[in-house]
Amino acid sequence: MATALSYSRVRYQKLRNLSRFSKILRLQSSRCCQERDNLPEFGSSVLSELSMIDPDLDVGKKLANPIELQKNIEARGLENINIQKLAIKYGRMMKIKQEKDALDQERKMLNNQIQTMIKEKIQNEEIENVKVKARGLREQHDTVVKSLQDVHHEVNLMAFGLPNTLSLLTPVDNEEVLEVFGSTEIKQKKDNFSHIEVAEKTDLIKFSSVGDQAFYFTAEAAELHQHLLSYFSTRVVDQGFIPMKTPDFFKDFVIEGCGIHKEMAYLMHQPYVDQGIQYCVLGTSEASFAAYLTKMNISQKSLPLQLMSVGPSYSPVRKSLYPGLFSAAQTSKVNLLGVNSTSEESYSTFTELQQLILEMYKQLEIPLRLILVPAHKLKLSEEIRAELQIWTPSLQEYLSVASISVLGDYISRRLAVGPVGIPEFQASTLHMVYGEVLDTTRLIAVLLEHGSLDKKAGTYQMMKSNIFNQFNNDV
Amino acid sequence: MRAFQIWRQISKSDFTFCKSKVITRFLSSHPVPEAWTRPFDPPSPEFDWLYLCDDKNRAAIEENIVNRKGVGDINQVISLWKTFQKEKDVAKKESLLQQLNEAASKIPNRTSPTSPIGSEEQAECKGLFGTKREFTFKPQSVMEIGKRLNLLRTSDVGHTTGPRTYYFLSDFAKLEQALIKYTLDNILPQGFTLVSVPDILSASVVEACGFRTTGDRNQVYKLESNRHDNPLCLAGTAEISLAGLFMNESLTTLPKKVCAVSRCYRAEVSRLEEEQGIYRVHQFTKVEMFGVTKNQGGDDLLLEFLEIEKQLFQNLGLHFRVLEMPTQELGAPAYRKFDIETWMPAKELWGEISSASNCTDYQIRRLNIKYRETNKDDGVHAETVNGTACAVPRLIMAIVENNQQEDGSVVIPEVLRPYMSGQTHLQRSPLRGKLTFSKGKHPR
Repeated sequence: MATALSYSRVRYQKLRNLSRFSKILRLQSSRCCQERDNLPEFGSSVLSELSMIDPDLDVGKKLANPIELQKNIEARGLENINIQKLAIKYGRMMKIKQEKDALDQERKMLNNQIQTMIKEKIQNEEIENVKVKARGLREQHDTVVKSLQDVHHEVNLMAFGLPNTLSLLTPVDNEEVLEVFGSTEIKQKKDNFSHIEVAEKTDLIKFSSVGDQAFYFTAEAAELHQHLLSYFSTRVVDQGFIPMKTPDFFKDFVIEGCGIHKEMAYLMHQPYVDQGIQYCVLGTSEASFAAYLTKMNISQKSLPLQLMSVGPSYSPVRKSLYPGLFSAAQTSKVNLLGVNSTSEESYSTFTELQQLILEMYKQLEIPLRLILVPAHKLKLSEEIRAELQIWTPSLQEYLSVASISVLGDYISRRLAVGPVGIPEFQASTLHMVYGEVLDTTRLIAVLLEHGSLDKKAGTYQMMKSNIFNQFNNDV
Repeated sequence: MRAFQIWRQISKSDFTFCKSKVITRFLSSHPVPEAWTRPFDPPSPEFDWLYLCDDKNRAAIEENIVNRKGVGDINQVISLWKTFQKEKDVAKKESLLQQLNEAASKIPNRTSPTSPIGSEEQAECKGLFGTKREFTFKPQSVMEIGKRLNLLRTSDVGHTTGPRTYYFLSDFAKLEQALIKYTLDNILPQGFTLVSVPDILSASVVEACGFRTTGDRNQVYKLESNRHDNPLCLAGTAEISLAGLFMNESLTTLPKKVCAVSRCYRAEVSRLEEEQGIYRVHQFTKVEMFGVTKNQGGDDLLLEFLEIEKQLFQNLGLHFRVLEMPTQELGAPAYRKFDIETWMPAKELWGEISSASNCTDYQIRRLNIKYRETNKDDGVHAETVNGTACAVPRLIMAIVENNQQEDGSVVIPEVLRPYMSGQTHLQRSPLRGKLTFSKGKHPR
């Protein structure tokens, strides 16, 4: 009876928290819906004059195969994308462009005619008649150019929300397990505990109300934090990635250029913004690299370009129902980016990096697996994503701690990251592979759950692993 | 039979029979951390009314306010206090208390009798350390060296990340990590506990530490508030987060010495030529020391922090001076403060690389941090001390400029070499080819 009452109490608390969470979600979504009516559309910051970028969204190529595009959209579970409407608008744009081209041709002919007439010293009255015609054409041309700009902007705004190409290797319905390491049977025991309980019994974690889902790691947990950053970043650098220290806030068009909605970042409060530009606080992310490479012309000699960034990462949107630190607002990350000249090279890098990450995490000697995520879990910018997942005792499931994605030329087209050199190279686009190698908050929470907690005695022992010995040897 | 099996599983808290992982997660007993379920409730400040409202102290407090740039009105505090004492009506008393707290919060901390009075020029040099290097050639600035070796990018960055932003590449990024590890390896054995801190904090916590979050000239970045319950800010220093760690705590063992590596965000601007480049930036990494100690123990802990800082910088081979800061440079919370400035040869100026302050009970009274002596029930206000162990960009500036050679190479200080795989000199970035910024609107 006591047990049943206890369960009821816990269930009641969970229900209360869930209803509060649902209320927040509903409020957020209703606020978002209201706000969406007033907020600029997704991509508008990239398309504004302030970004100084004219993105190439390759709309024509996407619309050339509408069935494939539709399949892509459906597989990803995206809503509110009307391909037909876009196609109609695009058709209209091409028509206006043809009109403009014809007018350009006609104006050129008239100008040549005027030049010839002047040379041949033909009567001024005749020249003037031609000039009047030319002036009329110019006005017509200006009107058409304005129309073209307007419809081009509309087309781009509609097309901005289109997802990246879907790789043929991406599973559609369910995840595809590529490799499994370690057994989860030994971990499915009754005395599992969560990192939240570790926080209650020890001083290793302190949850606090001083900030947005704030927490502190102290002593061994904090030292583990630094060791993990050092361990993973050193190994990535050893593979030839150039380390960088990057800024943590970005102008809004950089975020949107990466396919990220502004709501996914903390927004800077006025007046620390330039006129009409919003600063977004995201920390270490794909935006770190995108900001560095925006409007950069890259020579073929520089490829493959391999960069690594380490630092704090912030995320205010908590759609996840994972408890505690698994969906914390702040973490530290080790991320990497590879820039290649072809898609094939990107996929080759994608495969190599999967193995690199798998080898690094195997050193932890805990059950893990490598999977390909299904299409409906991909970000807009991703063609394919592989995730490294670790068995999490409190959740009794695998939890993602690292990932590698092929971004193709999604970001380079939107943020004008261009090749420069021989004409053939310059006419192509640059392809990217992005990796999140380490998420310290998540990983530490999982590692703590693989330790041993004596709830009665209130004592805790971190898990034993050779990797921790390596930390002591690493200077 | 199946229902009985399910009932047995439920009684053992095993919900794996659920096909839905979401429901399984919901049913398992892992509550949300309690601290995250309640809104931030700042503690009520406990001002020293006996001291503030004693007429005998009025003149001294007024003089202190004037010496510290004149913020705060003690006459208003005393007047409100007298009215508060006489008021009988509960509601009016409540309102008066709010006004009283607000007025009292503006009164700066007391000042150490050793602090010089006046502006920055009155700072007293308490010691000169290291040897000033005499150059036989014109030393380059860190900007010039960084650009030449492709280790630093500050040009054409404002377009995407705003003014005063920078990228460290390759060996500069490694140097940052090396400085952090070197600093931690030296301070942790001295009784410090490492803490990972939050960078996004409630405005109330920031204000309680003596940093203004409102008004034109505050340095604190604030975040859009319409999506959060409390106004949120980016921490300008880990001092705030570390003070927040001890908020509402009743400590039994002192001193508590903690340190943190954190990203610091400051909106400060400067039009001075010498502060361009990476000297004054909006975002940087810092290792901060923070301590809580017994009443009257602040000065001893401050001097201990100062010794640690001096040792760290001496080992790096820097030429620096220690300054006891005058009253106008103390800010609101500091009772006593020491700055360390190192010689920057390119600009030929002294640049601040560290600051250490004894805040006595200023932050303590606002964050309700007390300590309890054994066998006593009442808590007593403690004191807090903070100090910069490593502010990365300026240290890199100092190290690179002071260690450059005539042939253009830059020697890495010996103490940092183990943290850079034994490298003795900075190497040019391995980035091949050219990356050039496209000015103007980029067409495709």
